[in-house]
Amino acid sequence: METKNKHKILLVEDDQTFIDLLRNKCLDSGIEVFVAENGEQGIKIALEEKPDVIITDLTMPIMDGFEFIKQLRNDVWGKKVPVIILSNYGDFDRISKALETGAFYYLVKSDVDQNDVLSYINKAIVESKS
Amino acid sequence: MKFFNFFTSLKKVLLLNIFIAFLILVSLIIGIFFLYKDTKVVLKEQLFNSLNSVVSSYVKDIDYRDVEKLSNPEMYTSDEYKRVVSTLSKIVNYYPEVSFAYIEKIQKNKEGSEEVVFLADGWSLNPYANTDSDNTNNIDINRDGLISEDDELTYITEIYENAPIKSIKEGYKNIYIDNTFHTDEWGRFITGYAPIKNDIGETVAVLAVDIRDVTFDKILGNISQLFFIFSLVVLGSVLILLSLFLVVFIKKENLNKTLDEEKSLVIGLVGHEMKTPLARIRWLLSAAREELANGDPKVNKHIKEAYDESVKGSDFSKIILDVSRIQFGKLKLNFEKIELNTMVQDIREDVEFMFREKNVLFKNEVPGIIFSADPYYFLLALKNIISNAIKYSHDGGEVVVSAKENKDTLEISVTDSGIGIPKEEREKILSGFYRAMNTKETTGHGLGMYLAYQIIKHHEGELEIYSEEGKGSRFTIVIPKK
Repeated sequence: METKNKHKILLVEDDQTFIDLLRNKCLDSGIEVFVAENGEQGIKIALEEKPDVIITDLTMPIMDGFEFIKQLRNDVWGKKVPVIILSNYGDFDRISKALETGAFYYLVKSDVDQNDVLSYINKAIVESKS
Repeated sequence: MKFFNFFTSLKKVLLLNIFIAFLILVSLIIGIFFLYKDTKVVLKEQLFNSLNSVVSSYVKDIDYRDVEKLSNPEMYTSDEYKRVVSTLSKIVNYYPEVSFAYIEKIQKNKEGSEEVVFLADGWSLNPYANTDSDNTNNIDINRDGLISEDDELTYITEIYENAPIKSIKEGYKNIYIDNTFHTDEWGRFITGYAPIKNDIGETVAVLAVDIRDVTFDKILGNISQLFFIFSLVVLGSVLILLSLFLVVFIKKENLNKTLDEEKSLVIGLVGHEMKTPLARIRWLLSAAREELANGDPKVNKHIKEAYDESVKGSDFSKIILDVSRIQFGKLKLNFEKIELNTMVQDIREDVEFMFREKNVLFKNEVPGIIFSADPYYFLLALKNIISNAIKYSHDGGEVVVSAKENKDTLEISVTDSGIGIPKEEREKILSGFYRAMNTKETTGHGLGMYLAYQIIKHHEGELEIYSEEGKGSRFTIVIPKK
């Protein structure tokens, strides 16, 4: 029962502090976490693992968050998967651009902590199932 | 939005400019036109005045008794004729704009009607000069280079066909300038008349002086040409001034735009740089709080990390303040004697956490050197270079600080075995504040190095960068010994 119902998320992030803290939080509440350090890796893992929710940073080396979401949305499955953006930028331009990609939530790192992110992940899972 | 504003303001200024240009051009054209008209009138009047003064002064030199004697064509050999013609010839020779100077008189013919006859002409003592067999005495009266019928000389009592008798009659009474053109077989002229009077005040004949229409037009034409050139120069200058104004305006607008963009870029970057450590601290402390409640030993690690982040944040804010001090030229150095080895040791303690984090080996190979520098800023420069070296080192790499004393200079080198710096990055480090800020690298990279470079420059030193991608970099500070 546990393996079948266990939720999976993909975290696309290049900052080790945030990776560690969010991964610990998710693991504690029984969510499996895959980590990609840039958009390119993110696409690969996303299409292989088909996580329930994807959390992505925007500024990353090799492929940034916007390009990652754009490529993700080209996939049939990837079109529907809920994406939460977790960025340090809170400017209007980035937020509106991000929401145009169909992102589920736009979270600013300094405005939330890992507990908040976890509750958004849970919300996204529930809403995408319904 | 800014872009839009820029173009609307540009458009407004452009329209205003065109409108002003149009107004100036129209008023200039009107002004020049009236000036031209007035000048023409003044010029005409001046010509009439000079004609007036010529006839009124020369008529005094003509003796009415000589004129009275000239009654038949054969008189041309007489002394009277010679005296009269020599006076007239002075007029045509002294005044190039005068075509003819002659004496005429009104008389009754056999039928009893009035006719005008010529008595003398300034062109020649010999009325037959152009018609006799001798070609050497020919006179080109109309100055066209040919001797033809147009150059006809008049003989004494020759009838003047188509004479402007009305004007001549005016000339019998008084000095008179006929300012309408009169045409006869010699051409089209404006004529001035003066009566030649006898002792009892009766007019015996009239002195007439002609100015040809082409001469008149030529003089006025010259003025038109001058005015045309003048107008072109004035209009051209106005257009050049206006376009210069426009160019300056656009340049200024562009500069303002760039400065605004750079300013907001810097504010944005500074804000972002400050937010990153704050976000980490928030997350780390959030984790630590739960770990503390649960007795999780990770709490120590996370609190230490949060502490390190707070140091990074405050270092960054210090750098920003120092950079802004440099930007506004407010950096004042206080030189003191410094022991280099001790300074490197102090820096090492300051950045200890970075060495541990990266597992980088630090080697202080500085010999005992005392030199002169600002202790706070020079330490800051060297610290930034060392932090940078650690940041770009591989895990387990090493950072070596060494120094060498030359005759006049001191060389301090920071060598790392890191990833090296691409050439364009190297240039960025030494370039301006904004470009340094605009690197996507982690906290303080561009800015810290820029600050170090500026501090070294304030010490009249240089920062030399040697780097090989994949093998590492060496930053060498060269400062003069004092």
